[in-house]
Amino acid sequence: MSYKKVPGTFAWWFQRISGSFLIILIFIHFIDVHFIFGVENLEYETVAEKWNKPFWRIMDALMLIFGMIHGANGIESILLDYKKIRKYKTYWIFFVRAISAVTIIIGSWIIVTFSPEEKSMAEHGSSAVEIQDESSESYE
Amino acid sequence: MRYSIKEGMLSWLLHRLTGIGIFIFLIIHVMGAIYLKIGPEEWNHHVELFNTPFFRVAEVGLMGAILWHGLNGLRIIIIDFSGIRTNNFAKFLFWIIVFLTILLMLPGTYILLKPLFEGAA
Repeated sequence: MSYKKVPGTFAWWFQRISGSFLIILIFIHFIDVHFIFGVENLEYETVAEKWNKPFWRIMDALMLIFGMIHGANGIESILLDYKKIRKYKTYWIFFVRAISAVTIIIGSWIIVTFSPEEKSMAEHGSSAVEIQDESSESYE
Repeated sequence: MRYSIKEGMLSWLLHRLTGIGIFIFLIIHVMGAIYLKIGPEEWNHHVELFNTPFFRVAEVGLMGAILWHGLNGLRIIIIDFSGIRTNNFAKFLFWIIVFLTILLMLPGTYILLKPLFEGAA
C-alpha cells in the first residue's frame, strides 16, 4: 500500500462525505418544505421571505452543489459497470458532468440573483421599478 | 459455503434505482425553479401543480426514494468504516433500515396525503 493516487479514491471519499451532508440538508429541506410549509403554501412571497435570510440561500446552494456532484459521481459509477459504455467512457462521463454542471450553474444563478424586486415589477408595472430599486433592499 | 445474498442485491439495486430517480428529479426540480426568475405569477402557477393528487402521491414516492437512499448510504458508510465485513452484519443493518424507512414513511405519508382526504388538494 502506498499513498500514490488510486483512481476513484477521491470520488469514494467525496461520495461518503457529501452523502452525509446531504442526509442532514435534505432532511431539513424536506421537513421544511413539505411538512412545515406544505406544498400548498409555496407562493412567491414564501420563497422571497425564506431567501431573505442568507442562511437558507447557503443551505440551498450547498444542497444543489453537493447533490449534483454526488449524483453525477453515482451515475458515472453505474455507467462504468457496462462494457459498452466503458468503450466510450470519456463521452459518457463528459455528458453526465455537463448536465450536472449546467444544473449547478442555473441553480446557483437563481439562488444568487433572485431578488423580490421582480415581484414589484410584476405588480406595479415597470414604472415603479426605479423607485422600488433603492428602497427594496429589505423585503418584508 | 455460500450465503444467500438476496438482501445485498436488493439494497444494491434499490440504491441505484433510487439514486437515478433522485438525480433526474433534482435536475427537473432546479429547472422548475427558473420560474422564480420569470415572475411571481408564473412561479405561483408552477407550484400549484404540486398541490394536485398526482403530485401528492408522487411526493410520497420521492420521500421513500430519498429515505431509502439516505439510510442505505448510511448503512454503506457504517459497513465501510466499522470494518465489520460479515454478511450477517450487513443483513442486520439492511433490516434495520427497512424498519426505519417504514417507520418514517408512516407519519410522512400521513402528513403528505392528509389534504387529499380533507379535500384541500
